[in-house]
Amino acid sequence: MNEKQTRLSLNLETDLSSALAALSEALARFGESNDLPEELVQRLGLALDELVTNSIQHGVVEVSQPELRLELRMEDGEVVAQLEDNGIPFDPFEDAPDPDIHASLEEREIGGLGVFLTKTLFPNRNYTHANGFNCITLRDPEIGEK
Amino acid sequence: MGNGDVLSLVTEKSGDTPVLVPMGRIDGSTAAMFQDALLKLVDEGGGPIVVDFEKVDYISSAGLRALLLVAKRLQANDGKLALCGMRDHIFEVFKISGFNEILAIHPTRQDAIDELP
Repeated sequence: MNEKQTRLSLNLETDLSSALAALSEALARFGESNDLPEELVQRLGLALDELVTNSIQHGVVEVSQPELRLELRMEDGEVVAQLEDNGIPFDPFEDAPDPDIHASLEEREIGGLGVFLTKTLFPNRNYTHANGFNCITLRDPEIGEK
Repeated sequence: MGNGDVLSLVTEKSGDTPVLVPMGRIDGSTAAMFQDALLKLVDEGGGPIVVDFEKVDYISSAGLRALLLVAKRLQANDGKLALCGMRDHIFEVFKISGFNEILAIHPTRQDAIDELP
């Protein structure tokens, strides 16, 4: 019998392709261990991908010793995903404007979609900045319903 | 797990129309490759181009950005971009982003070809 792994932490490399591979592998392992629905694992995968990509491309590039940490845990019937980085302070949920998703092809601007997807997929989210770290938390019921 | 083979790309033909078939994951680390393949087809023929998503497991905003850029360029050339074969969770990402309103998305490759100008 495999014991449930209800908490998983890892440091992500700041090379994008290594980080995304590690993220996807960790999520698959965590999802399987906790019997999470595929829909929820996919949704977490996309949201965390967008946040990790943003952090690597815009946040930690400015610092000499970048750190990027991910924690996944089960807490009171919820899945909690927490991403921390020591990049420039940036609250993606407040500081990034939403794209106009009803704009025509000509007028549609390229960019801003990643954060918008994350916000739409995870209404229950939070941003703080403390001790030099940006910290983003996403929560969702483990049964995977919005 | 290496990320070297997360996305592979094949170009097929349906009559004269190129059909790009990406296989795997289109994310921040592979979107550039996807975009380059699309732009190459634009440069070669100027459209129309079909992209068949049947073998795409995953797409993030990086992949959507590449498609938007190519769609804008094709429109400027009066070309056409048609997408098809998306699984539900892939279509959902297009829908949330409003891309179903600005890009032509068809159930099957044949539908996509039939609708081209």
